[in-house]
Order: sequence, then C-alpha cells, then structure tokens
Amino acid sequence: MPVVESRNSSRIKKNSKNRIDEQLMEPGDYEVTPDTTFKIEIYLKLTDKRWVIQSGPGKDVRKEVVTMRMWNYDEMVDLRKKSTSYDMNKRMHVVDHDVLNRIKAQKLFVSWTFQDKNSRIVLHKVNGVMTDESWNKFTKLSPNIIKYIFDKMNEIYEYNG
Amino acid sequence: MKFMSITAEDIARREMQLLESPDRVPVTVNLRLHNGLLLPDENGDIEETAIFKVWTFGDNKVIEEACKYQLKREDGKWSEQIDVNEMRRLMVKRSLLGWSIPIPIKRENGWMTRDCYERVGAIPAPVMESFIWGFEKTFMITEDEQNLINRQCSILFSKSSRGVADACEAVSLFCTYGNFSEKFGISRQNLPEIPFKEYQMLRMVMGKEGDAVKRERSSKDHHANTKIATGGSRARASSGKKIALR
Repeated sequence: MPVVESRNSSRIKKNSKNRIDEQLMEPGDYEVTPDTTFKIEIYLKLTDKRWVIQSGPGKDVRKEVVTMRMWNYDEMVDLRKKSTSYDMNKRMHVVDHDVLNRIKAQKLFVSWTFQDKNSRIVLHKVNGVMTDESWNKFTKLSPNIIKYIFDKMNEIYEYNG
Repeated sequence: MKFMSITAEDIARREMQLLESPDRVPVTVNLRLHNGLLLPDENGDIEETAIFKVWTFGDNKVIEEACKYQLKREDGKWSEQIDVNEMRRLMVKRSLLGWSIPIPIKRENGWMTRDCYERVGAIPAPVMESFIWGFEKTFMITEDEQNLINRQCSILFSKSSRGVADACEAVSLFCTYGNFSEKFGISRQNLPEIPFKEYQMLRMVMGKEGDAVKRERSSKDHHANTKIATGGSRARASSGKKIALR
C-alpha cells in the first residue's frame, strides 16, 4: 500500500533540528531540570516493634531511599502561595508548614524504595504529581520516618543543605 | 593590618559604586556544591553576583497595589491584604537587571520578558532566595535600626534638644538633605557632586548659624507652643524652621 507523505515533511524535520532558538534555550548551569535530584537515605532498625532511625548502616539495619527533585524559584513561590494564609488576629501572613510539606512531597518526590518491602506503599503519579491515594499510603508510615524525611528535605529546600 | 586595609578598601569601593550608580544594587552570594546541588553557603568557594535596580517607593507602591487581594473577615466584612509571595516574584521581574549566572536577562519596558523569566524562575529556589534576601536587606529597616531612629528622634525633637551625637543614617540624611535643600536648593541627587571642601565649609557656617539661633532662643522668652530645630555641625533638624507642636 502506498504511503502518502507530505512533500515538506523532511524539510521541516531538518529545520527543527537546526533551530537556533531551541539550541539556545537548552538548560544551562544552575537551571533546574528533571535530573536535578537529591537522595535522602534512611537507615531503619526494628526495635520493640518500632522502626527506629539509625545514624548509618549496621546489623539488621535496612536502608530506604527517597529521591526528590530540587524545586525552582517559580515553583517555590507557587507552593508557598498555596500554603500561606493571613492570620487576622496576629495581623500577619503565616505559612502552614504541614500543608507546605505535603505539597512539596506530592510535587517533588521522584521515587522511593518503600514498595520493595511493602507493596502497599507505592508511589503513583499523575501529570508528575503524587496522587492523593499515594499520599495517604505515605502517611501510614511511622511518624518518625516521615518527620525524618521532611527534616532532611527541608535542610536542602529551606536551609541550604 | 594588611587585612584591615583591604576590608576598608572593599567597603570604600562598594560605597563608591553605590554613589556612582545609585540606581544599581549589587548582591553577591557564595555557593558550594552539596551532593551535586549548588546551594548558598557563606563559606562557599563559588561566587555569583546579581545586579538589581534600586527598589524605589514607586516600585513598592505599584507592586503592592497589584498584589492586593480581598479577604473575608470573621465579621463578614472584607479586608485588603497583600500577596507577599507574588510580590517577591514580581520583585525579581521588576528589579533583576543582570547577573553572573549564564542565563541572559532580557527586559522590555522596565520588566523582565516572560520568556526570560521562564528560565530565570527555573534556577534552584535557595539560590534565588539568597539573591533576593541580599537585595531586600538593602532596603529593609531592621528592628535595631527602628529602635535607634526612635531613640534619636525623641532626642532630636525634644524641647531642650541640642542635637544628636553619633547620628544614625536616618537622622543624618534627614538633617543633611533638609539643610542643604532648604538653604541652597541642592537636591539629594546633586549633593554628592559638590566639592568636599565646599561641603565642609557650608556645614561649619550652618553650625555657627545654629548656635546663634540657640543663643537667641535662650535670651528671649519663647512661646510655649513652638520649637526651633537648628542646623549645625552635629546632626539637627533643618535650621531655623519653626514647627508647631500639637
């Protein structure tokens, strides 16, 4: 069966390769891309039926890793806007850090390894954002693990590492 | 001692740069590589500089107006608030003129272009935050400064005022610009241009004039409802101007 091809298709393809503006607009130094990630390593040991965070590897210590994307300035402004409200009594703007941590996690978590040992805790995303179902699963983790992840995450995001 | 002289020179260079181009504010940030990410660090070995347009009263007014939103209070009434986050985004678009980061800044009609901001907004938030924090420090009045201004103003405008020793920047600016503008019509833009000897001589004469006004005041019985703030070698309010107390 003959294939009908646009006369100009090959030319258009060739031109798009050589487009100077696209070459110029490629991300350079400092720009955040999907590859600009960092890892949070969590060492856990089961002690008295509780998962206790350890300072490093050791006997019976499990290692879990959460990978996160760096936030860029524009995202930061947007996420802060979503978590900032005006307190009428204090007459000042207040950031709800619980809300901010949640939307950071939902938007910036790239992957985690929790599903390797617990298939219930799977990270699902839609349009690059963690689903509410996955967030609810994440909140089933021990609070000390969540707090550790958020602390380490904010060391990078808020306190420059 | 060599270290001290270098520091003094650095300060002098920075101040002169501000004097020569008062509408430009350079902000330098030190960065270091942390787990593959460039993050701000005071001791970092990578130095990047951004040049901001000086933040003017006009910029602040227009952007505050643009960022206002209505908020319903508990009593059902509406109050106006400012979206402080959006304001910081607009601050970048309005004020960032250039930087050493290899993302070209393109501006049109006094604002960063949308295409340019797409790339500028894509740099790591902590890096941009450090630049903005450094920029904000140049026009924010700290609590210590506020307290000092309040303290010195209460002395300066008291009934038995003899001026303020070691005047803070606010009082010094108020008195210097006030005196020179009132006496000679020299505006704050022109004052840094006059020869220093001329400036010193005029300050001396204004000081003598202030002393004369004070002597005159002490020899006469003054109306209890007026106050004369005098100009002089020490920081004082504009000379000879009568201000009615309320």
